[in-house]
Amino acid sequence: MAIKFPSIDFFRELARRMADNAAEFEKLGFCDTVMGVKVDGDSAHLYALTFDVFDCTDVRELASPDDVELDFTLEAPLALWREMFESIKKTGTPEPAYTLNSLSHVGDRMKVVYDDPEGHDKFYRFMATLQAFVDQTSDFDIEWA
Amino acid sequence: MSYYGTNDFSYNSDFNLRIRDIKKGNLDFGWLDDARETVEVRRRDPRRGLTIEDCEVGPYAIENTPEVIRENRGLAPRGAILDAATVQPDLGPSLNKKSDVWGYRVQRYWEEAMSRQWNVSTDVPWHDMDKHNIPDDLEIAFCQLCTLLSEVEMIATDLPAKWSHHMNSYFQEVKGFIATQAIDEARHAEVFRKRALAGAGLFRASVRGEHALKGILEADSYSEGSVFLHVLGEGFILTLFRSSEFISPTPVEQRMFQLVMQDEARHVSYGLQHLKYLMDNCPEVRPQINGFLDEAERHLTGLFNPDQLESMIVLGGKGTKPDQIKKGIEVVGAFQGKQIEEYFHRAERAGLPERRERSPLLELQQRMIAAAMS
Amino acid sequence: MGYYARDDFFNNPELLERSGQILKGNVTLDWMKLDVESAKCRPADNRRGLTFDDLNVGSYAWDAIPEKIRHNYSMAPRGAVLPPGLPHLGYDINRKSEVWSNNGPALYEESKARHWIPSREVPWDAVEQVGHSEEFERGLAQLYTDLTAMATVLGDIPSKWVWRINQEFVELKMWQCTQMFDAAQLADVFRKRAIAGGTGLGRDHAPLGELAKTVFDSGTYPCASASTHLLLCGLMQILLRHVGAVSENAADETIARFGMQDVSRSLAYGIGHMKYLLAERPHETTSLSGHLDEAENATVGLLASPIFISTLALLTAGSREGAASGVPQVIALYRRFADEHAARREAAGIPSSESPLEAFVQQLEA
Repeated sequence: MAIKFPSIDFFRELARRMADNAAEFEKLGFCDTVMGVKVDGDSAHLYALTFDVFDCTDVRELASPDDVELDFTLEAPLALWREMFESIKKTGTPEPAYTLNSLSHVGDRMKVVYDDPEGHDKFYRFMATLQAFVDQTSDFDIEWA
Repeated sequence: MSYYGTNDFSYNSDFNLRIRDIKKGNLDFGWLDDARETVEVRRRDPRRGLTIEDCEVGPYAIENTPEVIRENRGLAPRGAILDAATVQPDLGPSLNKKSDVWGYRVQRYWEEAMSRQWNVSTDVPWHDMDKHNIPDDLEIAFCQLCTLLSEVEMIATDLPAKWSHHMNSYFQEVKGFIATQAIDEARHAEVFRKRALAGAGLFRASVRGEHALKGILEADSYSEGSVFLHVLGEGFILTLFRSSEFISPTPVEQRMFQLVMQDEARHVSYGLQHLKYLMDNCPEVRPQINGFLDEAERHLTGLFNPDQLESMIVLGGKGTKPDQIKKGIEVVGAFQGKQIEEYFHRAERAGLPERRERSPLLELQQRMIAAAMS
Repeated sequence: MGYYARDDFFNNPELLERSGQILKGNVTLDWMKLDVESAKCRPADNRRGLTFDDLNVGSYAWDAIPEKIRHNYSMAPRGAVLPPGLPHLGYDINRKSEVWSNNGPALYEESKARHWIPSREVPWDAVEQVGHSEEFERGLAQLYTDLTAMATVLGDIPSKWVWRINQEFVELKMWQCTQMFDAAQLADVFRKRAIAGGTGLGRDHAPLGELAKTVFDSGTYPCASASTHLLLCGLMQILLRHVGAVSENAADETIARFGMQDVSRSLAYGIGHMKYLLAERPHETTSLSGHLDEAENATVGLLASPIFISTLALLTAGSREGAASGVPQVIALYRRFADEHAARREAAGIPSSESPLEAFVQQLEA
């Protein structure tokens, strides 16, 4: 069944799979952060994903970034998110140019928005978990908004 | 032998009497009747297990510990009953003030570090290396980069080790956290060494980089060493790891950098929180820390050595042809700017906003740009 | 600032010029032309991954490390090209036999592979409702308090020495980092266990401090290694074995099982280190033996101390009331410890005909 991106159901499905893949995520260790995901397009969408210990415990769409205290937010246009997920779909992991780090690093195709440097550093502290989290989309049938 | 205990039990008549008592079953249970505070400790979240924060109750809590530890000069854990009847042997701790070592949230960093350990030997897909064909110039450039990284990472085991045994045993969380740093950094040196030896080998060490490492190791105090290592040095290396993941030739190397950057970010966070704690609780050291950073930032420029710069450029441009070099320069220029900017932001958050005005780093960057444009 | 580099790179016109040239695209790439040995190491066994054993090849091998390091006092990785002008990082342990053990690299790999997480892997729910008496719990808390202090010094010893050891012995330094980490985890789990039982930490006492100081203040690394790894780790191992045997609590059994694994690796290193050292420098037997005898003397002080022996007797018998009946079993435990320690000294090449530990146990048995 196709799942729409961006949508709250998309991230909830990832959270559900994270719980199903507990062994993989437990091996990667505690992950405690509230991360924002912003999808820019005709109408922008902003989601807050709360990671607690080994789980993604809360997914919500925000009307404003001030609604929740976010450690950092990954912001990119819909087209770039699409490229990233399509890259993941090819082999189960992204091509080198499409990892979360690569996309958000030189060139800043994906922006990392933050206020507190410690919140920013959480992106790197939990990088392996967050990458594994998005890699779970490899068998998603995604319907693009 | 540097220390001889107060008793030689081979020639001690009191001791012989004690042995006689033991054999008779005459045991002293005075300790069992010690009055002590009973506590109830429960896991707040069973998924985390029993954390050190769960045990922060009553006499065991750091918040109930004075700023200066006077009564414990041995190895008593925080909250143990100190024996007034006998003199506690002095093991000579020299870091006895909380602000000397403490950082906000250090308990969480300690638990996180234990939980996020990984294994170079098995968590990097070494068996995939032969699936990828890396051009010789990129392989050599990557191994030159690995040489530098293997070289610099061990400083971050030696510096914590140099100071940990001087810390009062009441600061167990800090001692524990920097022990995790020692093993994290050993693992980093290991992964870069292993990658180089799985490929083209180790290349040239860095004279200027080593002078920066010596500056870290010979810092006069733990706090100076920490601000140089954790905030300045590891902050720069964290951005370098991010860049290296970006320019990695294959997913094998990308995996390496994803894993090392997690550890590095944790160390940066501790350093930031220690500096913040120090500035909040011991503001009189601000001039000293600033004076130290003035020199430390000059030292750090040693890390921008030509071999490292060129190897990053080759990797960033994916080759040595003029157009590839040009692209590589753009990539490296962008990340160097990011390194400096992120450092100033961290310093500002920790309570040292004056670094942006005072630091020689921006001027150095401008000079290099000017030299490149001339 | 303790160190000011001879060259202020910030104001070094040559460096600025070179950097500027590189940023203009005038790269020399001279490092690409260096003649280095390509090793192409691969895992011998994919289940183990790429281990240090797989890297023990050619000029990079630890087998190729000379006994005395004369060529490198910097942090340059072993086997890298060393340019002129590398600074001296202050290492004063530069002889291989002072630190080396041939099992060091494998123990490092084993330590990583057998990593455990005390917060999560101990069944803490068993401590939230212990099934034994309060005085038994107090006994356990006292023993865990002692074990916390022992684990603290067990971490302080590699911390004291590792930063002084030449980088050429990098696998060994890495092994010492695992020791620091393992010791920190043990200190953490022992203290948590004592607190979580509800009766709180026990008493710090001088005889334990005397032993810790004797080991911590060892004048040389080989002496520290002998007293820490052979004696202190041997003591911790047998105490953990005893905890695992006398407590029926699942948490204690888990802590004992994982804890004894960790300290046993250090025992293996200690024996290997002594063998390697004495094969190279047999004349050091005398000083090492004298030091171990002195450390045994401090251990005797602890074993006979009122708090320590009464704690063990209580735990062995199960109650204060019956503790006296537990003394023969404690003496039997000491006998086992003395025998095992003597066997380790023998295996390490440092036997003693005047062992204070042996004499003490004989006195108890007489």
